[in-house]
Amino acid sequence: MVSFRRLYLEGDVAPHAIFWRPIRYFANYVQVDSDGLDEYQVVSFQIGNRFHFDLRNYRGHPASTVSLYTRLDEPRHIIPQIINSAIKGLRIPTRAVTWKRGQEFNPGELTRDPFDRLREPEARLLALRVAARSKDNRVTTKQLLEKIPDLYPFSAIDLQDSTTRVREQRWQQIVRNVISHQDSPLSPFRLGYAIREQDGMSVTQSGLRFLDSIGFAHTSS
Amino acid sequence: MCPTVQAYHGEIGGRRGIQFDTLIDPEPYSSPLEARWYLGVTVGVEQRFDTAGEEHACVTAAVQNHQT
Repeated sequence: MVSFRRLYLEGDVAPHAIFWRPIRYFANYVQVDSDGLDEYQVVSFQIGNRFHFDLRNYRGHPASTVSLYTRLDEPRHIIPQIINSAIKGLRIPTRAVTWKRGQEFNPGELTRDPFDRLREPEARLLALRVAARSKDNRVTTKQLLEKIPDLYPFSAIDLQDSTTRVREQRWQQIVRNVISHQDSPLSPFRLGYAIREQDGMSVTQSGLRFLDSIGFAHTSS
Repeated sequence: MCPTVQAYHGEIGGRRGIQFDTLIDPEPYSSPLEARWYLGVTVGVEQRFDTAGEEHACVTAAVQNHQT
């Protein structure tokens, strides 16, 4: 289980992975600090009671990315475990993992997976996150479509025309499916995480606890 | 705290700061977006002290100043 931490890492850190998702995707509560490199935005997490890691976006990094940092003195043999636990615990789609420790890289070169796109499982989580940070934990479909672009960086595939809806793009169709596919076994409605409203959805207490369990701090208090 | 030289990879572009070229390889614990040279850890990093006696990491480099 990954838990949100209010205190981020101090001292020397090392980067171990890069995810093609903006920092607001992961938490509502983002802090700003600076170190010898530059100013950065940061959210911090812990895995169980043992491992801590930061997600940071430095001013010189692509805005749609976060880098995962651990303390520099973290034993090297546990780094893969931290990376994999973070990916699994934060529910980061495989194609959003742009680089991780152990993979070769060319300095200064970072390319998003061309097949990274919004799929319904990720859209379900986004819908819960958007609703959880909205007034009364409630959001309309229209509001979802307005707010998701703040949290999710669209790929070229996402922006293609919808195959089923006129004047809509694929990502919009995917988001609408979250609401309309309410009887799907993995739907947040079937899982008890959300309640279908006439024009959208609201998050239940069970849904908020689920978001907590994947490290999403839905309030700034 | 381990004194460290930290930098983004690539050209500085229109941003403010310094750009440098060095023959000293950064620590393998770098990433596609940034490089780090740790004093006492990364081979070739030298120890320097400023006039206040504070310890710094130093790499030999050709430096361009873009701070103005």
